[in-house]
Amino acid sequence: MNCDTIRPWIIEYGDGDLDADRRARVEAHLNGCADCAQLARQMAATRGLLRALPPQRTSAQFEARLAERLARTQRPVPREGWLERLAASWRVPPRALRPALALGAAAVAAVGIALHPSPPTVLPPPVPIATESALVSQCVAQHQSDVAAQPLSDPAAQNLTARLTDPATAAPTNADVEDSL
Amino acid sequence: MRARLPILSRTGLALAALLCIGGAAQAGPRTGRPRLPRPHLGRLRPFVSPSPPAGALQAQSDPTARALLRRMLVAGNNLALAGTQVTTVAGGATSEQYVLRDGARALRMDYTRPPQMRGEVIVDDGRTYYHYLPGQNRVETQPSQVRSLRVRVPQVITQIRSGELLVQRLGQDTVAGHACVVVGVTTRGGNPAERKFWIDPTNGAQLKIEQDDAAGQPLSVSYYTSVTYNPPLNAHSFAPPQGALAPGPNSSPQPTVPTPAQVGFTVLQPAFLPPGFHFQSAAVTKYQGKKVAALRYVNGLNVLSLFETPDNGRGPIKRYPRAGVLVARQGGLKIVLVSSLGRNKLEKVVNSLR
Repeated sequence: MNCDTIRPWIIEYGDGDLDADRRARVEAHLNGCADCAQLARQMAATRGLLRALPPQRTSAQFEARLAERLARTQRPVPREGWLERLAASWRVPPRALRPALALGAAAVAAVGIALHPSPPTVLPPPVPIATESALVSQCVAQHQSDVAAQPLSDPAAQNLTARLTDPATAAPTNADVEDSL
Repeated sequence: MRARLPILSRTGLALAALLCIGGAAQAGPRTGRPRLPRPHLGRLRPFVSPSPPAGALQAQSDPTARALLRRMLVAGNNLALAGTQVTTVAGGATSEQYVLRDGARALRMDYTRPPQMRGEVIVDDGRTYYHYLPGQNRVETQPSQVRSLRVRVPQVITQIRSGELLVQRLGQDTVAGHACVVVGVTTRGGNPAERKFWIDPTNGAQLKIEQDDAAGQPLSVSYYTSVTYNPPLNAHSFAPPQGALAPGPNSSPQPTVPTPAQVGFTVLQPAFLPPGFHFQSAAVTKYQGKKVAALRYVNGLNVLSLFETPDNGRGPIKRYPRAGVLVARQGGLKIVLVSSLGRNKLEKVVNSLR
């Protein structure tokens, strides 16, 4: 396995999302490649810094508003912009690097918006990640609502979990529910 | 004295006496927080209690326990009660709420703690579920949850009768001053006592519930510290919180998969479901203007939710953005699968979508 094949997997490796086979291949490569091992350490350090940030309480509609704001500020990115230059400097195919940069940018934007009601006007364009996150939040909220409506469930526990473990989660409102079948 | 009791109460007392025979040897200390042994002690340790003997629930259901569980389900539809309830979830977060429930007709919960939830009010009037969030000065609404119970209780009773759900009597205990029988419920082949209920046999009231996850670890526990049966109710008991907008009419979910004409795409369905799961109902919601098909699968204790919406992305993806959530892309659709099942089962379900 060469570096170009392994490097796109390093992000998922750090997140623990690789299956056993790929994980073993990545680990074998990292043991013999100083450059990739260095990249993996840098990503782990970045991830550690993000995780070390104190949790910020956001409003229930935070993710939806963030996605909307990102969509408004989205503009075409020059083909040879800083994103591509940075990607080239890491020798990672741009398409593979984008999710990692988008995730990092989204985390930075999230912290900034949580700390400051008026966030910076210029934001990077991680729209796919942000919108997916908001979609997941809506799906989880609807799932929790469905669980609470089961006869052998504990609605109070569902509500507490929803409110405390993910304050940004908001169940879909009647406006979202177009029709029930 | 006995002659004055209503027929229902007499029946309940008789049932209680029957269930208590032979159970004294297993009886735990009579406290509001039962403390019987338990193999999986997590962060909920102070609240968890009687655990069944290994393999107890793998045997045939106990007929008297099944009868009591049915009684609890029926009481959930009919019994009115009021009381203070404490809830603790894995991780240690605890809430306290005053609950006013009129069977499956209406529910009200007023939160008193933790501080960030104090003042929150949930009102479900049988048509709409309102959740008032004072910190945000906002009222969220959803379709009624208690109305769903009226439809789903008979389905669960059927599952109990058919043996899909295994029910065992685990012991007896006292909750909020009321003698209770502890009943454990699991799915066939599931973990020992995936859910436990403390049931007042005199009327079927559920005074405590404990839930475990797929790995058998405690997920949550809720119990009453005080309770009153048949409290006075009036027209204002279940009035929507101030500021709540009048919602549009809600239609009941029906067990039909959305058609392409309804959502604009062919809804994929899983060829594989974990044992015991079956399709329950579907709904169509919207996300950023796109239609989302929501399919629910249940096994009586757990829910598996499958969401599908058009997706313009290319290439397959499969990731876990948070615990219990699998996001995938297939056939031009973004798939979101949510369940407390493990990753392996979620993957098998997604891989079987056709």
